[in-house]
Amino acid sequence: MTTFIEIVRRDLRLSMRHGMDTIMVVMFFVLVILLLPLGVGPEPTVLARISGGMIWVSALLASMLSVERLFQTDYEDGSLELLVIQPFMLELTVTAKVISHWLITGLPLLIIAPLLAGMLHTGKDGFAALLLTLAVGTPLLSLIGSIGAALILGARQGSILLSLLVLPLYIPILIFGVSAVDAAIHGLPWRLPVLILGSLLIGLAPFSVWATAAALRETMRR
Amino acid sequence: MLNRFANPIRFLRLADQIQPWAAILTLVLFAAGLYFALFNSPPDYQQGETVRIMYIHVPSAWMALFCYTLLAITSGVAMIWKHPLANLAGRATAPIGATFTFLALITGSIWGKPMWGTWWVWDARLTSMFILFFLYLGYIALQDAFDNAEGGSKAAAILALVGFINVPIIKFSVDWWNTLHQPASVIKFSGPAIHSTMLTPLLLTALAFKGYYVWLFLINMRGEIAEARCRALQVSQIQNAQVAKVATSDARDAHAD
Amino acid sequence: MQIEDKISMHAFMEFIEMNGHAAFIWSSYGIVIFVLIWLFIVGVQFQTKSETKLSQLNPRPRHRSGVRSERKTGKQNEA
Repeated sequence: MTTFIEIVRRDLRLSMRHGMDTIMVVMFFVLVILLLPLGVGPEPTVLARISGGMIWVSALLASMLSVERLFQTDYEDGSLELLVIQPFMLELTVTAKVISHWLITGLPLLIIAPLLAGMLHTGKDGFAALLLTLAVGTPLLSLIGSIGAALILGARQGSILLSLLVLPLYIPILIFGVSAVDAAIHGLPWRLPVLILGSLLIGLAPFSVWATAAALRETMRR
Repeated sequence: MLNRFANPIRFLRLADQIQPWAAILTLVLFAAGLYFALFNSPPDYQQGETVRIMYIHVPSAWMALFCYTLLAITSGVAMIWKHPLANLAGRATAPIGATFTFLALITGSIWGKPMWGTWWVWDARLTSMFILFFLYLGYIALQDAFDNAEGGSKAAAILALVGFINVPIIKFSVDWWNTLHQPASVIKFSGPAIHSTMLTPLLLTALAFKGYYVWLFLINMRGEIAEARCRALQVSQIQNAQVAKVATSDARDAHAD
Repeated sequence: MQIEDKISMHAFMEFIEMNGHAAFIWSSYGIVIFVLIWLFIVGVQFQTKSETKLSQLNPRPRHRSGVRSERKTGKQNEA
């Protein structure tokens, strides 16, 4: 358990010390949202109608961009090899890395999202749904993204490849997240999609961690 | 290293026996399927003559799912039993599956024009096929993204398993999304009752596509096995050259390479 | 005789036209057949290319027709 916490703390410390990770992710997120009114016009009704989808799409892209670095730096400086061969279970190491990725990138998105929702005139009914779906959905994004991040280590044109691998797998998260927000905006019940997201998180977490660990072991064998 | 490729010989012997039968069966079934699909089946009371597109669209979509299932099975075999042929089977299957997915998309789009009046509708089935196409592309791209071909196969095997687990979730979510945004006047693909006169050409072309898969799979496997042997030979030649630099014959081998 | 010809000609034209949907039906069948044949040719080319590459790499003499030579090399490898 101490090893587990130590890995999380190490990643957080590294990102605090020289990482612009959090700032970059939030900046990207805000920039995409800024582009939206410039693209479709400033009409509040139009913005309100598409705000749930836009916030979710930009959160998805921001998470995907940041997850590439989840193992990349460790892979380049060789510390990944130590993480794989140490006696501590690799699956737990992966879980720790995913949690720290969520703390560095997912949590800031969650904090900034209400502000952006306000700027897009989402309306207060959508607020709770947006926050709740993002709170359940962003860990899922980190989990699925970690599989892609582990698979592309050492590949040619890794970042483009990552988007090709990960974005199709993100689609269910996007659909359930947006449908909950849209239902809430229209005053409809939105419990079911949130529950589905929650069960996806519980169901896919062990599998994703296993797949990421398997991919990391293969990387070390190459 | 070469010993590991000793068992492809048994596979190649089996392939030699199956391949002519697969070829004959494919050609006969496809000819019969075309005859029934184009000449010997009635136009649908609702869709008219355009129903004939269904006889190649639906089997293509079946093949797309069938090949992805095979991809997941070979990936599982490759990961659990480390069977060298399983990785090669994945490599031989993926392009066929991607092509059938592409064909299902194209024929679905062509079918949509007379049915819906537009070339593309965000119908749940077409959208799922579209996503499946990208899953195939990701698999193929990951396979070829590494300098080490075996490493690429292993990474792609993990991706195929992850994708296979996600396919039902994606399908469910796209259906969910589609019912939320359903336009009122959309005619559904493949209504509840398929008349038996339609079933004959549908099954014939579906079986013909299966035969085509087996035929082409065996051909692709021959190519993949030869490629894998080339890689193994190159590795062993390099090793020989390194171990016995003095031996002139090995030096010549390395030079030839 | 002539009338029969005309009738069969008419039936044939009707078949080609497919009740006004000719372009859709024939183009989709054409695309499917074309793409499947193309993929098949690619597979055959890949097979011949990699097998010639293998025979060039392998210093032992081998025949073009597959299995017998494969079996021979296999036994040599095992030996």
